[in-house]
Amino acid sequence: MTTWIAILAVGAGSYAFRSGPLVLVAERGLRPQLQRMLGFVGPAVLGAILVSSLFVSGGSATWPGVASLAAVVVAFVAVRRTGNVAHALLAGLPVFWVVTPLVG
Amino acid sequence: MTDLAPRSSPRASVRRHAIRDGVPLALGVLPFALVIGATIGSSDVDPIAALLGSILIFAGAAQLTAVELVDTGAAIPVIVFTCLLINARFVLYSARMASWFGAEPLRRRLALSAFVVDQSFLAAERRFAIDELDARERRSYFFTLGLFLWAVWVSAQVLGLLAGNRLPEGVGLELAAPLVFVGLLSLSLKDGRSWLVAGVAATVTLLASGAPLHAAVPIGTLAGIATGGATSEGRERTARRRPARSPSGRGAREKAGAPGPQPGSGGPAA
Repeated sequence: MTTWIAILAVGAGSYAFRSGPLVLVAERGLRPQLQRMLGFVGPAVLGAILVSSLFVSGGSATWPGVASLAAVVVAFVAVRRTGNVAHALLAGLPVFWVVTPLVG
Repeated sequence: MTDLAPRSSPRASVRRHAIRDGVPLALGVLPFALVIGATIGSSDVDPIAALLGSILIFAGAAQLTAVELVDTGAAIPVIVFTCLLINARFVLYSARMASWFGAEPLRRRLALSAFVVDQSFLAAERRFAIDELDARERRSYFFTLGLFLWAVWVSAQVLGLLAGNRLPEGVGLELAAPLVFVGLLSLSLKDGRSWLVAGVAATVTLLASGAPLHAAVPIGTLAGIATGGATSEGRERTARRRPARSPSGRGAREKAGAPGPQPGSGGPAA
């Protein structure tokens, strides 16, 4: 029963987060200052999520390993050069596969 | 991402581009969804309820956290609060989306909201900055992309549940999602301020890694956004002072051009 209540509550809350501002802001409008700040949501979230997924584990900082870091750097450069997100996987994963046995 | 032909594109073309944009994103979420499915299978959590979470929560980190907390016997308020804190970034996405879909009727805004996830929001922000799409095309793009990602997400979790511990190890499945995020980040860094915002967000997230309730990401995100806002304000103040000395000069033009990302323009995030 706990699972059902928890899942339903988190689902409802998440939907409220997703829909609330889009419903309310569209009705009332948003201050220009806040609109400008929201333009930074993308790089801010990506910077935070990326570091969290690579360097944070179990509530503490951790070292992701040379192979993962090499893959991430190559993926960054590949997408930067081509403008295609698919190249992050196409370039990054092979680097991970090659470097992993080299560094042990 | 390839460019869409502006305005003249039929909706079918917009949908095709949404799927095309969605494929690499789906490849990124696929391993994560498989792992969550396998985690559900190996836990004592009711699998039907947990899979319902893939449909209702539609957010990997929060769902995985919910499953793990339920499995460890955490109290419901703790589970709900922790997961909602992780999903707090959706508030920012939703507010930003008001500049794209604010003119839509209420029922459409409510429907579009269901498909707000990191990947759909960030891909749409980039696409809408590149291509001049009208309201109907934007709506069609976002619905298609969101529905596609949602279908992949739910299907992969079911597959992961069925596959259990037969998923291969050591092939870098866990790296797929970070690689997609780094790809999106690479595209979002367009000027010095976006680099600064991402750098501050990343640094603060790392410094706050020990924060309780998985709060590091929301804390880092807010720090990055605040930095972006502060630099915009500084520029604006400078621009306001300049016209006083030279009303027809560069300062006046900068003010008219409104420094910083504008709603609907995609801004530095795209």
